[in-house]
Amino acid sequence: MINIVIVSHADLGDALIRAAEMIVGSTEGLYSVPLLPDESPESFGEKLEAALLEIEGQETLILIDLFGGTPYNVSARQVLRENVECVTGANLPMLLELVTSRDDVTLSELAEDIAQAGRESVKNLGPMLRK
Amino acid sequence: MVRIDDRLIHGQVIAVWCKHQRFTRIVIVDDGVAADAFMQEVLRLAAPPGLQVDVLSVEEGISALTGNPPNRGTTMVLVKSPQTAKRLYDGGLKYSALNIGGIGSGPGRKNIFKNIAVSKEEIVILKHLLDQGVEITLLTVPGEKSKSFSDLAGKL
Repeated sequence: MINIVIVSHADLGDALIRAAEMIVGSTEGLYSVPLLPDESPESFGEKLEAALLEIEGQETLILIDLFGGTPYNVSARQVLRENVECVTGANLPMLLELVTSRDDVTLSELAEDIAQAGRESVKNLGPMLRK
Repeated sequence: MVRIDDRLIHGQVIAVWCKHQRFTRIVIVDDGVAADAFMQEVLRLAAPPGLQVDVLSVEEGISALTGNPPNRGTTMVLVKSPQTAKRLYDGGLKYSALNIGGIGSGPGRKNIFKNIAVSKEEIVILKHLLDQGVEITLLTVPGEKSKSFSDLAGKL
């Protein structure tokens, strides 16, 4: 099973997991590594390493909240490891897609799929509904 | 501008500071990052188009910046620690103002304002720079409350 690690500012990752579980029920292989307000990038890096050590060697998709943010700066190098992909722009539709499709495709296909799912989930309703 | 931020380039710096002051160039001075080509890729990827990102070791930083002083209004010199800020100053980059945007906490470090924590050694360094006439301001992003280090120095 592909593991999902969400890295984010504050408790966004924890909140996304709670929201996803409201919809799809309790789920395994979901981890959150939060960046706290006064935390140094080094300490955050150590937390991430510790979390990855727990799932050593298994395929992992790291879902990152913000491209260019500190969680991104610290996590991006993980793509150099075998069996790890990283995708930024974490939102609930992407997490749901991850949880429901992870058994069906390869890790690199999964990364592409959720990047697509994230983009497609953004809709401006006014023009769509006001006819 | 010279800024201390141990997170270097990140959301706040790009989204807020660069918009606020129209920086066109960021010069990161840090031995660790200068030796890490991959990290430089990661940081450059996050910079928007039109923003030039240079990464230099402290030695390179001293000679490049003193030899060709950057435009204060459009260049941000970014370092991770008071130690590096002092090395630049002692090396000849005599800046008159220093911004401290963020330094994480840890063992032996004391939080002095918002998300800025310093060690005893760093307090000595900052006081030394203050004595040289450098105006030190603690400010994460423009628009937020700022604090002058000289106000805090007496109690540290």
